Amino acid sequence: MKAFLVEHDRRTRRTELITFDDVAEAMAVYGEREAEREAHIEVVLLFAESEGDLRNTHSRYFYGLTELVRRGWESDPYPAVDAAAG
Amino acid sequence: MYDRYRGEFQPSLREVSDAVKHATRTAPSSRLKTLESVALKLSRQTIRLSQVDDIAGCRIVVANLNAQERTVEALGRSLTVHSVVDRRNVPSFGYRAMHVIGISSVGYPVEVQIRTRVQDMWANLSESAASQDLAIKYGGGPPEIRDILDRLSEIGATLDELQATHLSAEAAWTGTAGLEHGLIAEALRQELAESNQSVVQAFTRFEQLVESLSRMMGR
Repeated sequence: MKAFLVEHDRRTRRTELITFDDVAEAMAVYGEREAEREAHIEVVLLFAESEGDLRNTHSRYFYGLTELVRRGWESDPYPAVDAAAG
Repeated sequence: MYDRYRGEFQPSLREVSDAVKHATRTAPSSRLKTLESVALKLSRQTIRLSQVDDIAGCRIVVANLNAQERTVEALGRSLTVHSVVDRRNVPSFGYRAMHVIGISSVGYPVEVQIRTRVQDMWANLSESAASQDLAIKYGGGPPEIRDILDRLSEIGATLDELQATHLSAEAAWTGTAGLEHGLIAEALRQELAESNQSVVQAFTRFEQLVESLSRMMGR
């Protein structure tokens, strides 16, 4: 599990992503960046196995509206859940 | 102070996220709630910080309504569950999903959001709009954007239902393997084609509204 610090500019819609292997370090940087941020910058710490997984569950940070819908529709998320729950 | 409080939830978030992963064989993502989000929540509701049960949150996206229900059942067998919130038919300002509030081994709540891909698309659209105007998240914002989001929420729910119908038709058709001919096979083939067409038509409407929203927001 990796930690991903997301800094998303609401005005430009640009997203910067910093990846951490050390959760404690990620948490420290998260607190610092959040305290220093300007109002139009979202700062959020997310955890996922990969950046790819993150892009699937938090697509708004990475894609425009029509693209996130297209990607969502074309995905086939986790058919294995049927086996797990069966 | 909130940063320190939030940090206490991280081990529980990891514990519940791992349990979700193993119970459902998915790869959930998770997060600790931002100061901005929790402040907004506290300003809108008469609750204390200690009563906020989604400081730690985990998210899974599944294919359809059937998978969503089976995932919730699987979590019920694997987690200590405080509560299950079903917002599919009673949406919160258009937001639909199922939430399971799990309790970690040390007593911290972790909210697990289980969304279909359609519900997740809507949520991301809404949050994207809300990043421009936070009032949108709680039912406010420009009326024209609100109207589109509300219509998208309804069409999204219909789309999920139509997909469930299509899956049933598909299962029935699969069950007739070897019966390529005959009235029953033909009826099932027709039903499958019609349900597929309904899904395609609903998604086309969904896409068209998203394009309108995109133009409206200048994206």
